[in-house]
Formats: sequence, C-alpha cells, structure tokens
Amino acid sequence: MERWEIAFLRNEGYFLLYAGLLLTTVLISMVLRKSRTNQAFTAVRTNQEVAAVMGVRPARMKLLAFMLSSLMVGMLGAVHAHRIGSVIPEGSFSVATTVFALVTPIFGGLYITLGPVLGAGLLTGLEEVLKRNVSDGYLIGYGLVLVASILFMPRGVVGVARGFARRRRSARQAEHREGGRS
Amino acid sequence: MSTVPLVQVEGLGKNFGGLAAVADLGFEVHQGEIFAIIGPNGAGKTTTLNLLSGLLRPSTGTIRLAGREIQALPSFERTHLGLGRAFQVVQLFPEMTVREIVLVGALFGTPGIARRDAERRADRAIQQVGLSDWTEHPAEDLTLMQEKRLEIARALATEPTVLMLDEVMAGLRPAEAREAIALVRSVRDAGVTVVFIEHVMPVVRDLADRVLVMDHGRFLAQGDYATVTHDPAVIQAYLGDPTDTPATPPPAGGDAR
Repeated sequence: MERWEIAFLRNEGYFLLYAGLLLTTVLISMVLRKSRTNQAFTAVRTNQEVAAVMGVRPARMKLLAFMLSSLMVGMLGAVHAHRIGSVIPEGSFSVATTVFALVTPIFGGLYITLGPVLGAGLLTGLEEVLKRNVSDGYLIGYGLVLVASILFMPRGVVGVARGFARRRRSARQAEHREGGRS
Repeated sequence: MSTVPLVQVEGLGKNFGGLAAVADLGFEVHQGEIFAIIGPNGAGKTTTLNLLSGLLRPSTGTIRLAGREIQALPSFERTHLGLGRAFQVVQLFPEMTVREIVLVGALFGTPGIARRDAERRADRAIQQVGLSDWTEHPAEDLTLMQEKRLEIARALATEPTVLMLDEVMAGLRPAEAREAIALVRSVRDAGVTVVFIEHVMPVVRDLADRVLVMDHGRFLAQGDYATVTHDPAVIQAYLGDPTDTPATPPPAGGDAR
C-alpha cells in the first residue's frame, strides 16, 4: 500500500467529517445565493447608501455576513483543532493564513459558490506540487503564480471560464449570421 | 390639500464644519404634486435631497412625512414609510439584469413582503417605465435613457408615496428629455407625488406644478414657474453676475469660501 493510502485510511473519519463540512458550506452558500439576502449583500457591497435608500438595512446585513462566514470557518476550526490536538494563535492568525483566506476566493472567482472551492483546490494542489519540486523557496513560485493570476484574471478561474463560454457563444452567433446572409 | 401636507420641512439646516450648506429652509409638498427644487450651482439642492432621503442628518429643523417626524430615521426606515428616491445614475451591479435590480427595491422596500408579491411588484414597475422588453438584459446593455427608466423603476418598486428624483434629465438629448418628462408625468398620474431637483429650466417649466428656488442654502422664492422666474430675487441669483462670484453679497462677517 502506498503511503498516502495508509494516511487516508488512518484519517478516514476526519476525511468524511471534512467532506461533510465542505458540503455544508457549499449548501449554505447555494441557499444564500438563491435568497433575497444575496441581493441585499450585493446592494450593500456595491453602494451602502443606495442600498439603504432601497430599504436594505446595511448594518444588519454586514453583521449577518460576518456571522455566516464566522459560522462556516468556526465549524471547520472546531474539527481541525480536534485533529491537530492543539491550537496555536501564531498559526491561526498568521499573515499567511489571512492572505490565503483572501486570495483563495479571488483566485477562484468572487461572489459565486464554485469560486472559493475551485480556488482552494487549485491553490492547495499548486502549493503541494511546488513544495515537492522546489523544496527551497517554493513560496516565491507560489507568490509569482498568485500575482500573475490577480493581474491577468481579475475575475478568477470562474471568470476566465465564463469569458471563454461567452466568446464561443458570440462566435457561434456570428457564424449563424454569416450563414444567413450567404 | 385640506389635509396635512405630505412633506413638511421646517427650519431645516445642515452645517459642514463652519459652512452652512442649508440654513433655515422651509417648504411643503402636497399630495399629487410635481414639486421642483431649483437654484444656481452650490445652492444646496442636492444637500436638501440627501437630508430628505436620510443620507445626511440635519443639524437643525424637522422633516415630516404625512405628519410624522422622520428627520432622525435612517434611510431604510424612510423608504419603508414611502419615501422613494431615484439617483442620477444606476448604482448597482452592471452584471445584474434589469429584473434583478428592480427586484431588490421590491424585496426590501416593504419589510416582510412575500417573494411572489415582490416579483409582481417589480414586473409592474418595469412595465410602468416601459422596460418590459429588457427584463432579462444586464444593466450594462442599456442606453442612458433606459438606465434612467431602470433607476425610476427601481425606486417605484419600493412603492413610494413620494418619489424624489435627482437631476433625471442630466445628459439626455432633447428627444429623450421629452420622453423623461412624459415618464415623470405618468408616475404622478399613477398617484405618486414627485419631488425633483433640476437645472434644465425648460424641463422645470414643463413639469413642475410648483417650484422652490434656493440660493446659498436658503429659501429664495416659491410658487409656479411663471411667478418664480419673474421674481427679481431669482433673476438676480441666476443672472446677477455672469462670472462665478456669488450673486448675493455674503452676510456680514462671513468669509467667502
């Protein structure tokens, strides 16, 4: 048996727990996106004053957003602390953790459920690959990838995928028009 | 007009540091009126509108909506009480569709409204401004005139009794301005009292039942269009000096900022 397989089996319980948490988080996000709260969040984020004039309560919405995101991270933290067996403030509140939490959704794509999921998966994968191949200074490579992605895909991976889809659609429409003319 | 005025402003003032942007302003707006607030640049029109809609808190004075004092309430509560406002430019996500944007106003303009009622209300507002063919288009596809229609639809979706408009005509071509005038009239005919600030004078002439003229944050004149435009004080405020210096001398002791 490979080493990772043993590791997986030994951690199977935790794996399922983490998977369940991921699913819960994704579900909360999906339900939220369908709800009127999502529209209120969008309005407050775009222009708080305009949102208020439209009847949205900005302070309440900000508090709700803070509580919901704390809830999701808090659930994960509770499980994680159990698995690790210790909680170290220097680790949990380090700059690296904060930056990762900010960069993940930006890299994946903001304001869409799939974005942070994709971002976290891709970035963690990238980090592991780099760690294995460029043992020293892998963080530099990691940083370069992040800078490049923020510069060249401001809407994240999801945004790039959508751009492709849109371009293909308009190309097809153009083809149709050409065909209609001839 | 025998009942209480729909909007009643008394002794309204707003100071920014030592500068009185609005001072001792009083006026009344009656049910079913189209009421214009005009004045030279810097007269305090926008500040007044912001005080009415709650984006600014007044330093002095009272604002009553249907007899109830609202000057201490936050914006969203004023909206819930029926005070709507459309902004100069559409202020929401360009990626949201027309329907989604109007739906925000419908969903949050009335607390506790059922989603289905809000959707019906949004569709009615969209129809009212003539954007029914554009409901599924993103806002960024719209022309300027259509954006103004959208902005008014969004405000209408909050079901206001008073709708405040912030220079809706800004940037419109003459033909579009005529469209906008017809639109504002149709809003009033649907039972909504309209308060608007505007500097395009022909629009004020065509649209307003009554006009309030402001200058340097103060009340200058009030009445129908013909009356105020023949008022010597108004003529002096607008034409007194072709350069940008104040048309009326600053009060003694006050330094010109």
